[in-house]
Amino acid sequence: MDDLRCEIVIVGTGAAGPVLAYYLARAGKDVVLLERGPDVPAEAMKQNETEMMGRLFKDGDAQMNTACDMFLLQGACVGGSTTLTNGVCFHFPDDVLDRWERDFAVGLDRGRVAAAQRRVDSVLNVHDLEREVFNPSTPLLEKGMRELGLEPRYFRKNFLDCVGCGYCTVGCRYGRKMHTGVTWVPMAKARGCRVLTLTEAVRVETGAATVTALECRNVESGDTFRIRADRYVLSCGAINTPGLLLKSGIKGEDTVGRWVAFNVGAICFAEFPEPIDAFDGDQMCVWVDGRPDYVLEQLHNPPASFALTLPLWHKDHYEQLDRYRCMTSMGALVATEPRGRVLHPPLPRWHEEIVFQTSPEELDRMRKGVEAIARIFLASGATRAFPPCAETLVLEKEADFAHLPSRFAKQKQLSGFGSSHPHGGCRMGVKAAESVVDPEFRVWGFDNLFVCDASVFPTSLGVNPQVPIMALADYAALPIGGVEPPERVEDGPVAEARRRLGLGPDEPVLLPGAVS
Amino acid sequence: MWPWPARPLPRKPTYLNRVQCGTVARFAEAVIPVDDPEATPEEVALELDRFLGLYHSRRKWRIKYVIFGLEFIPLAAGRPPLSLMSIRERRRFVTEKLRTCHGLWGKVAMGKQLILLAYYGLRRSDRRMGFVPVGQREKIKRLLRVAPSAGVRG
Repeated sequence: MDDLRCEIVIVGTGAAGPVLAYYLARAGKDVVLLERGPDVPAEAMKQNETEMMGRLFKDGDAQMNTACDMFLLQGACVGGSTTLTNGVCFHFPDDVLDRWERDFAVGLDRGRVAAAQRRVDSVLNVHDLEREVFNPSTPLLEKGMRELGLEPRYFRKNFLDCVGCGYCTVGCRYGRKMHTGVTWVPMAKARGCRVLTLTEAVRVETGAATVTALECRNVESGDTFRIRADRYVLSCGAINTPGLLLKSGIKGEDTVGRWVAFNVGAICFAEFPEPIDAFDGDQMCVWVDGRPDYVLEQLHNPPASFALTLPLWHKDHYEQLDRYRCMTSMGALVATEPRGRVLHPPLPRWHEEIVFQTSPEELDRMRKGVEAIARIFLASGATRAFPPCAETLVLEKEADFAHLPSRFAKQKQLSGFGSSHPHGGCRMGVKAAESVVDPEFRVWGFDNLFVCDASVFPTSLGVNPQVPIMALADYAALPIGGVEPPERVEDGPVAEARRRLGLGPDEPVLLPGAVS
Repeated sequence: MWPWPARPLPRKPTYLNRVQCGTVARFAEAVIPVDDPEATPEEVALELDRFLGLYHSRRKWRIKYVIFGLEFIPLAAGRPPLSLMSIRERRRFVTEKLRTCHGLWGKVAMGKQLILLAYYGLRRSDRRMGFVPVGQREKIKRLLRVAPSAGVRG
């Protein structure tokens, strides 16, 4: 392939890159958007977990930390991880933004952040999930939560007429999850942005304080070529962006790849006496806000993912799955401190290494969260709960809970432990010695290299970050591209549906007759 | 290389070789301990091979390392290689050594996840589990009638 020339090249089609690409292309700029993975349209999505894990996830869903005791799930397709979420949407938590301002001098303009989040919500049709698609375990869990004095809260989702098939995490075959692959990417393309898929950014080539080219490789043919641009934006996520910088010899003041944090999670399972058929509806409907300690989230997976995470072995595992109709699960999500690190690949063309261990204090919060979930289950009418412990533990009566603390002493004692929300690695800050990018998203020491994704987050958010990352990209359009986003975005499938159905500009599109 | 021949497979693997598939099949017998499973161990091995052929990754070589580890790590415990153990011995070994996920054993225990992914990915167990395929669910049929596609009303 011949070398390319453009004004701005953006690497990554996850939560951030396409938003930025849309605003810049809309303003008439010549933008190229790169994606290492394939573009898998809705009609090519299959409700086959193994196949879609292989086609949509980075490393086939098997990316792990160096100690191999933590799964790190990321998308590797157009839309990135937004293609694989359950559609859960949160805004930036206020206390997190307060901390960034207080501890890291990252003072984002709250008014602009709020406007960005409103625009993102509108483009994605973020709304309270319709009860019509709640899965049948939800009323049971609500009852258990209320009995324990916990307030059930309901997820806001970026769905457009979800039918509740329960396969969100392997891509929506109905095209009803408004991930970036069906919203911002086609919106950017319609405005003239060029999108190159199956194209990997191999190396950032640098001169004195400037980037001169981006070396790229077609992952199928192996052909290499260069893209020369006025500005280069890395939006490959909190692991790949620092990894690409390190592979390119850009280390900052030994700052690149440092301060990686995660929302870590583990799943606790329940068995009820009668079939509840929790697979027949949305995977995640109800949650409990236990912040700052944890967030408890309903999560019911289809068979293969359910089997992969069920913490039993051999015959117990096999036979327990005969009770799948009587089972459901919830996850505890804990925000960790930024102590992880993405390390320089030890050899050329190698992959980056990810070093992270959860602290005893964070594990204790995880233990408390799992204990709360188990109690919700038992209050909901479940007969048994299975916490995520590598050495099997079954919670049936009060005395069983005494075994929990010793099973959460170390990360390696947990089963199915992992994260799909990495943050940091290219922290934003006001001093080059303590950060990788400045408050204008520019990499320290370079005049035309920017980072715009969750890797600039100084800490983890504690909740699903897809809307905050998109809002950050909206926010970054001005400092990176000199483009002020419009008051309202009128492009995209949701805006089109609103026009077709005669709804107001930011009004959510709900299923016919639905109660949100 | 393994000092024993590979067992016959229903088809030629694409990413793994036949001997590696053999190790996966023997491990599958230990992880899914039923006498009449919905899929044979060789089918599970080939499903894993198919899965590995679906994606590009710089980490994928690690899977071969895990399979190599699965085969020979019993030597570290004074046992024969996995493929040379009886099924009973293999199940006992897996139960004792791999379930607690410590140290090197923990890295190799990742093999269990791969077996489960391949076995349950074959979907022959769905009916046994009571899982109802999406196309047979009345609620979804109704919702697809009222909203045939995103943002469109029927």
